[in-house]
Amino acid sequence: MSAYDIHRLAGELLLNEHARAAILSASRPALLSQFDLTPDECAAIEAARPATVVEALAVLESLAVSRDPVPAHYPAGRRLLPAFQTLPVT
Amino acid sequence: MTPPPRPSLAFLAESLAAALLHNYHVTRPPVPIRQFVSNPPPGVAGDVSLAESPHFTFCRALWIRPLDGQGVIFLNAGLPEPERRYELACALFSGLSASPGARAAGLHAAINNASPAEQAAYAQHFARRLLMPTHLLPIGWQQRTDESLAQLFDVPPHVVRARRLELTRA
Repeated sequence: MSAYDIHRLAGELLLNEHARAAILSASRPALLSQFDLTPDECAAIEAARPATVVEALAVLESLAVSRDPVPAHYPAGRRLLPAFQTLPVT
Repeated sequence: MTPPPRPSLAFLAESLAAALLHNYHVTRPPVPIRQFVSNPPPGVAGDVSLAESPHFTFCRALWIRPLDGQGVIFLNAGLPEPERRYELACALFSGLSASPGARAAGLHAAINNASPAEQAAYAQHFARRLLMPTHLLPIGWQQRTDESLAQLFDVPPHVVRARRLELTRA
């Protein structure tokens, strides 16, 4: 299963303040229902009860990784901080 | 104490690209990058706009936020169209990184703390995924030449080569 829908949800959190408010509130199930997530993925997000957008995005990334493994060329230190440095500069 | 997990920049960049492609109903190449910038999503409308002129020879593409607060991308219209689209996508990442959502996600701070070379790498990473998304690649793309794919996606051949490398390593 592609991680596209999880990326799409994460992107909405970045672009849309209503989505950001929803993921942190009781409106979360209604928001999640708009994306092609499995019941297990919805349950994982609910269980995490993210209190911040950063936490919500971290949960989504962990789900995306399980759907679509991170390419091997991404270094282990690719997290937000510290920044990773091996992307090809074109 | 273990710090709370944070999303990676690669994930955030790919997510921004996915949301834009979906919101604008992009189903075939070339990706309408100018539409994203000239008619941005409401949540980033204050962060992105476009000023394009052949007189902007001081840059290829440059995102800034003037005193009036409206983020704007200055785009050198003297560049060939594929280069212009790619530079515009890179500059769009700068604008999106300064948006309220990107600030809430820590993306803005992470970009500001990165070196200029890293900042450029992140912007290029985003631009490649936006302009050459996996789901728009034609069947048998592996057998097509760089020039053929560059023409299809209206991007410079060097972008195709970098994207091909990413996809074959994945």
